[in-house]
Amino acid sequence: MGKAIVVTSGKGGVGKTTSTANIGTALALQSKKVCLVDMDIGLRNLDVILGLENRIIYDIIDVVEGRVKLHQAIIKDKRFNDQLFLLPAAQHADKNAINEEQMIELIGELKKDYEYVLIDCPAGIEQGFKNSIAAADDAILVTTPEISAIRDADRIIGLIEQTDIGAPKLIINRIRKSMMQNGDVMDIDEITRHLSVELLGIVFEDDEVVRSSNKGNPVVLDPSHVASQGYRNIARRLLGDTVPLMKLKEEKKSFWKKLFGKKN
Amino acid sequence: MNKAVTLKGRKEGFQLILDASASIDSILEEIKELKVQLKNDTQTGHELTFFVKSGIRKLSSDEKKQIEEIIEDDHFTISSFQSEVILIDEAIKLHKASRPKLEVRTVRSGQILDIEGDLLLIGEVHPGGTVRATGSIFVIGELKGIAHAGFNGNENAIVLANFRHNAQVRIGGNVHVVEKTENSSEQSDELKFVYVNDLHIIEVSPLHNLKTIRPEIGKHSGGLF
Repeated sequence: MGKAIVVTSGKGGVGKTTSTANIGTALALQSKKVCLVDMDIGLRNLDVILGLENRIIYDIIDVVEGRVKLHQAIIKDKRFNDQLFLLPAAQHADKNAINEEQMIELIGELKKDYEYVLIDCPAGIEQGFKNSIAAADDAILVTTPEISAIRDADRIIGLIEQTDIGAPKLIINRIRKSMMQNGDVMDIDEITRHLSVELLGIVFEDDEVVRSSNKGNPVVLDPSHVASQGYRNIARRLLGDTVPLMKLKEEKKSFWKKLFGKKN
Repeated sequence: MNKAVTLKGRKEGFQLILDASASIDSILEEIKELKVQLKNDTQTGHELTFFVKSGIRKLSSDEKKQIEEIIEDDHFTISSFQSEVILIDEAIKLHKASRPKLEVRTVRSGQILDIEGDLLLIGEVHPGGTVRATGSIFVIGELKGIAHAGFNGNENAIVLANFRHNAQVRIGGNVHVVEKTENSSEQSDELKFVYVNDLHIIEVSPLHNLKTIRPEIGKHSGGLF
């Protein structure tokens, strides 16, 4: 029996979908059998980031309405050997096209076949959010150091704590080192203390995330980038490893290193 | 004064031509008079058929019934009503049935363009957008989403486009994924079409094979090719 984890944030644009794709991919790289479920019905993105957009034949609505069997709608990511799968959202329907009971049944089916089921939650706290958390065993809360995202995260924690899921685990995403060091935004300790939930990991802002997503490749595939490292660490912590937090401080390059050292 | 009803003899029978500008009451009145006159003029036992032509008037079924009641008896029958005008509803139906249907627009993500018959789309199908037709689909522009031809199961339908982007083509129940990799050298502008072959396998072929593979398509689509 696998584990269903919902990735949520409240606020939009903080990186739920990117995090879902990358954590899922990182788990698949660790030889776990993973199914990603896109719950952003009507505004789906997860398929685009994974580069599977044109492979969608059936979607989650086709499954819950009984037009097709679950396995017919699931798309296999060819880059991995039977490790990573996607259940895509419908694009021409809305969040009310599915309800909590249907979700519980659907995710229950998936948990039989997959070790990890990652649910990509839509922004907001309406039906789409309710559906996403209905069947989850655990929750990952994504926020950025921005105060607006933290406010929404706080609201989400309150909502999730009222369910059987319990407290979510926190990812602080899109951290800009310089701003955090200058004290322009709340630092990692402050955010974690303020929200008082367990910190699962941090991901630094990295242009490569957008660059590789645009090509349909999750950034985590290439370990040389900082964001990739952040997501790999998160996946390892999910699997129970103890991994130290990445350092915020940039190593000061000496004058001579700057002059003669190689780039990076 | 113009007569509201004119009687004309034709090879096929008698024509009752109704003046479109006359009131229905005066028409009914004149038909009654005409009937009496005709009854007197023709020998009994002689059968007559009438065509009613209402010109640019659209007779309601009530009005038709009234005329029938006056004319029809043992010897007189009305074979048909003819009008030079039709209702807009019927016109739209006729228009829809004429093929192919021309659409000039962009089909965006989440939108579905559903067409009865063949579709000629001038514009783009964006990723996540769907065009569906019960007949064939011809795209002038870029196809980046889903094109589903023969939506109700017609495997003779085709999809014609320049396949330069990632896309998906469905014909009947068959699915073909068009995959473009960054370094694929064949970035040609050549038009291609997707069809289902004799073995029920979906295939892509250059445009010049269309006439051999689907000779009937030209007739179907009103001589598009």
